[in-house]
Amino acid sequence: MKNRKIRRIGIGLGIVLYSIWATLFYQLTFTGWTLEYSYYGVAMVVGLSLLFMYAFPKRDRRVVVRFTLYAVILSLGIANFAPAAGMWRIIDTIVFIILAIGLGRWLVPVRMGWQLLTLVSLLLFEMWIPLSDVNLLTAFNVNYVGHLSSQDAQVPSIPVTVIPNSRGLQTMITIRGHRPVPHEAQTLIDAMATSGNPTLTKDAIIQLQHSYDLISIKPGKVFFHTSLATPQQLARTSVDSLAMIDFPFSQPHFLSVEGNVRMYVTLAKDPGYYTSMLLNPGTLSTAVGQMALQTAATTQEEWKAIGGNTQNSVQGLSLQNGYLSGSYQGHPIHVKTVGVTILGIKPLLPSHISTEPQAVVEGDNVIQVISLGARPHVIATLNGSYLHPLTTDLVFADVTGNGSDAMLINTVPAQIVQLTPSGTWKTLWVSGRSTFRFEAVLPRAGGDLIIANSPSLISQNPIRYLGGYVYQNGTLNTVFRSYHGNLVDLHVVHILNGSPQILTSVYAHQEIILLSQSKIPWYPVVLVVYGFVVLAGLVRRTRGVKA
Amino acid sequence: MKRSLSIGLVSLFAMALISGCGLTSTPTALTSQIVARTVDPNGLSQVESALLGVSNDHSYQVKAGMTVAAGHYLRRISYYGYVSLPGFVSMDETIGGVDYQIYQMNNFAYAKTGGKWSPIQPITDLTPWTSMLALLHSHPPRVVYTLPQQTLVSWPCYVYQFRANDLNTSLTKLGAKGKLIAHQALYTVYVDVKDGKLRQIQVQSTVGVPGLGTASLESTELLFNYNKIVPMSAPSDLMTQIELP
Repeated sequence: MKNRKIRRIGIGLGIVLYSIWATLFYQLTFTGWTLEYSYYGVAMVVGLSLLFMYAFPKRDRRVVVRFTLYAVILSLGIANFAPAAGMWRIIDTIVFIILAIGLGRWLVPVRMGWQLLTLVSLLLFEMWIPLSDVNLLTAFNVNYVGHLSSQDAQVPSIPVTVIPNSRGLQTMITIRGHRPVPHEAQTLIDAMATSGNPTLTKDAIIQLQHSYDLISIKPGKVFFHTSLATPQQLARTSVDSLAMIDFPFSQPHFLSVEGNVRMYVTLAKDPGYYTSMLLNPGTLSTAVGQMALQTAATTQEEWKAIGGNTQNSVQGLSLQNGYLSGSYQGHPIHVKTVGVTILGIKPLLPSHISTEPQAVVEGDNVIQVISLGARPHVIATLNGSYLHPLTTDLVFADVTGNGSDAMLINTVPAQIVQLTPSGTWKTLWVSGRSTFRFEAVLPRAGGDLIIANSPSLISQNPIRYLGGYVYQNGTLNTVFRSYHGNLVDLHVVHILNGSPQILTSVYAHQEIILLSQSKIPWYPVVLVVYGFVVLAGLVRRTRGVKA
Repeated sequence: MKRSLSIGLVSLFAMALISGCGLTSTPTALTSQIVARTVDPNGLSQVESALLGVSNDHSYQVKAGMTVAAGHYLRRISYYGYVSLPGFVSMDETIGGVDYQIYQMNNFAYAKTGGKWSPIQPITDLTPWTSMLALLHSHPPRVVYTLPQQTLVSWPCYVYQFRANDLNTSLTKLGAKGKLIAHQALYTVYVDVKDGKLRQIQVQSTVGVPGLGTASLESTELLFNYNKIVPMSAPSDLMTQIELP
């Protein structure tokens, strides 16, 4: 009696684990190989499937193959209706369960109870981690997925930034589509009488359905907590990372409504102006340049007016009137530079050349490196060209593990350049694919782990997927691949305790995702499990033959 | 048993082989365009005559796009439309993923967004070649390059490239050595091999934005169907919006 109970629990657990393994194996191995290796990948998938089928003796084959297919079909089915919202989700779920039971009765020669267990466990599994995010498990744990509803096409990906908090970690600041409440418009109309900027208030009323609340997200004991951002939080938030929405063509606006900050986006000029700009190619560069300066200045002004942080200083240094000035570790700095923004204070030179790190600033299509030692001065300049312009789309990484940083620059194509002690630049690596992009860097002994969005190895399709690479003798060696496209605006953050996390936004999906480095290498794990399953089949086969 | 094991080993080996591949460096990817261009002493006059060649034309069709890259982002406007001189414009625009439609007949100018038309400032300069000629006359480029022939859609084109200072001095800045530096852009002009007409103008430029760093611009406009566009009457939904009570 007791033995039977234990046996049943064992089978149940086995079925749950097996169906989850089938899902993981399908996503990590089959999807991954097909995306990375194109036709060769398909051939490998067919090979593994045939080997799997061949392994089992005939009488097991029917049950195992059909049950495995059933589990994969269910996972894909659940993933398909999961994005539906509200009432549709409930209807979809009911219809899906009926269909799943029907399919099970017809396809799977396994008891109904076990089928339902499979269904429930896969439903719970995908509630915990959506199937589309399963691909991230090759290298990451998914700590948080935030759905921040907004219907506006002007916001193709949700901008998100972080600020330091009182616990020595960071809090996420982002935007969320605003849901108007009854009488809200009337409140705003009344507020116009006392508003410092009536035009802004008027536009905010017109744009009510297309406006955003600024919110902060931080981890609680079990779930992440979302609340409206407080003035104290915004006083620590720089607007640049939030307001680059459709820069410079659209203008973000900020307005304080009863102590809470609301954002909405309008065109920077009327639609005719954009046509006029186009039809005058001889003055286009001036027009767009002025538009960029104007949009940025208006954004800063409005951000300042709501009490947001507009101080642009990095470790006590700031750029003013063509000089990098301030004080660094006690000694004053005042160096003439063409920089307009500080990229960071980084050790670009090895420590035996310079014990102090350098300030790296960027101007119009140019990067300058300024020494912060006894006699601060510009030690190197890197000029961009119009064909391969230098934007701030770059990351610093210690690629060789010697303690000095190289710059990983997203020109088209992307490149890695390193400063030499003589002040010249050495190109370490240039991408052969125009869509390759460096995204973030995680510290790693012996050379940092470079996180990049990189196209498939064989296919010419420009779609990019996340990958991890280390630099070695002129080559980027692949550490992992996560077949999740659309991850943009990656930041290295410290929102949770432990090693740094990656915060990213999903393009066209109004989602932000927080990832931490995984300790369990799921990809080899599922492959090893596959090996064991095939081996188990072979063992049964040989035993069956003997009997 | 032995056979299946060997199949398994072979497939695992193949897998390890392919995933072991790294991304090698391709330095030529950065220099290919520079290598392919040569200085052309007649380039300037070729570009000028192409611009002058279309300056008597009375209508054209345009397909264009403008991309600005700043920070981690790349933003795009796209255009498609018809222009007939002196004052007809019909243009579809996509800005920040939102569609806009423009209809203009001389001083009657409207733009449509979100299903509703509203009046706009009439667009006056409808001849792209005028601003290009003004640019060449006020600051003739010192060097004009020629690039290998390219085919745009179905038109084989000669390709010329040059840098020129802005007509307007509003973005002039102070250089590192204290000298004033004019704001510049790189222009690539495509001239049709068969009829010598101006086919495409590409503009690439950058601007340094305080706090944000470099914003880079790339714009491409393709001109075609010269003298084949007849002004169209106003869209019916615009008329309905105006006429119906």
